[in-house]
Amino acid sequence: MCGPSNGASGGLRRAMDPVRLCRMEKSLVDALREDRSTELFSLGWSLLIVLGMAAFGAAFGCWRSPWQALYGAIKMPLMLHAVVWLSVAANTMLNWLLGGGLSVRQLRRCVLGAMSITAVLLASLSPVVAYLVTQAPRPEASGGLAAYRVLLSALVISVGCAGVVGYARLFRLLRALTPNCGVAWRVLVAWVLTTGLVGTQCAWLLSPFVQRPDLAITFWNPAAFSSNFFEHLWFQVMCPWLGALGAPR
Amino acid sequence: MSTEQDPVKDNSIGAEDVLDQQLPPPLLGFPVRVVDRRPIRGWGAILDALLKQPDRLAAGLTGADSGYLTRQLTVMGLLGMAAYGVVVGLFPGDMQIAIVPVKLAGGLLASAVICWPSLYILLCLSGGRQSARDLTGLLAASLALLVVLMAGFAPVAWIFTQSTHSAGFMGGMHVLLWLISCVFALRRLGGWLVDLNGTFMQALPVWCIIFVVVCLQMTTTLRPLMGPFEGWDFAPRDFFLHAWFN
Repeated sequence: MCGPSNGASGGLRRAMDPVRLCRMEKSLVDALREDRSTELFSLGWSLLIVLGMAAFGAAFGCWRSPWQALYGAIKMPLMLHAVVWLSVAANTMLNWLLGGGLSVRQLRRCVLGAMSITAVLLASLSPVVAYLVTQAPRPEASGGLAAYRVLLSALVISVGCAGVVGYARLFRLLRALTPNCGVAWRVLVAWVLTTGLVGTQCAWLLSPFVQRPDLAITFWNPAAFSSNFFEHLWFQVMCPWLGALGAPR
Repeated sequence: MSTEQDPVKDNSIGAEDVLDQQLPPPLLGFPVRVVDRRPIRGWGAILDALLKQPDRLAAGLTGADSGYLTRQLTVMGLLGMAAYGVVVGLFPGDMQIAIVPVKLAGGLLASAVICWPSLYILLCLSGGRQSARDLTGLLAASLALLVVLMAGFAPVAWIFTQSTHSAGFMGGMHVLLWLISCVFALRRLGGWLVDLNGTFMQALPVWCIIFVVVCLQMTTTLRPLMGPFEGWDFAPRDFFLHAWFN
């Protein structure tokens, strides 16, 4: 018979089971609806985020250097956890306004679940990323800057898509926790938008995950508090395009 | 005493016909689908099932024979790829006849290993119910089908190998044959997953793109495949599209 410690570790292992989470199995949905083993789920999913995102961050960072890989492995999980905590208040308000009726605790667990699915998906892509990154031109090579742009775009697209997939998979759980399908959809869309807004800024603050080849590797972004993601996007991407089209900048 | 003989024993009709005769008529016009679950033993039977009885093979791969079939299909796939590699290696000749088969077989295995985690998680996200072991078997079977199809194309590739000196043309031809085989193999994998789960796996097309990109990049990692042997070191790092067109 299992002792208490074995039972707890078994429960944690079960809570951390990525397959069960990704399939959003009925037993899991029922446990969350009935508020059973909630602390274990929170702990297990937090650990999943740490492990999954560390693998993904290290896979991308190893292109630049081992230090960048280490920084990426630290900052990626930090980013997702920051998104969960910073979006809880706004998501709670939106959930109440849209008729969701979830408690703050339930909501935090839902967002944590979505982020865990995102982390698991990105972790499963880590071997592919690591392989492609080791095949990309080295940072100091002539094609280093072009490779940097490709990798950065791939990083942004993959994290964004995985985030949307994580929330989409959450629908089944939301459907069980909210009064009807329409409310579940509205709450889901509102959460995706809020998390997207918070996520872009968290990513900006914790960047660089892959440093430009011509810049020194730093843990923090030196320009983190003098701009934001959308300003950067506007000046770096949109303005050159508009300039090329002859529009006033 | 009855003198009637067993129709199966005297080979007058096949076992499938007996199965059909024993079935009740379809209800409401829906066809009844019977899956042959007899064990598959030996390479001949596996090859036959791979090409002609995919349902039977899928049943074997998700049943008690899973381990045996997965091992056999993996070995079949690796040896088949090595055999096709001999045809590829005939173009540069010399040492490449022996080295290209090893590179291609190793490259296929490495691509499968690299892509397996994403396949598993994407299928879980799409609602797939297969265990890791079942999925490994299905992936091994679809890659074995890819290799069998390529082996079928090998004589065609060999004829061109004997008559052309353009490495670009031959490289393009091998990639084209690989892509054709890959379409069939991945369609079969998708078909198996639809049958086993009763629904289309929405994330499978995404994984197919990932797998194709990894395999194509592998051709760049393992180069030279169409040129003379240049030692055991890996070629300089490059994206496959850049390497192909420069």
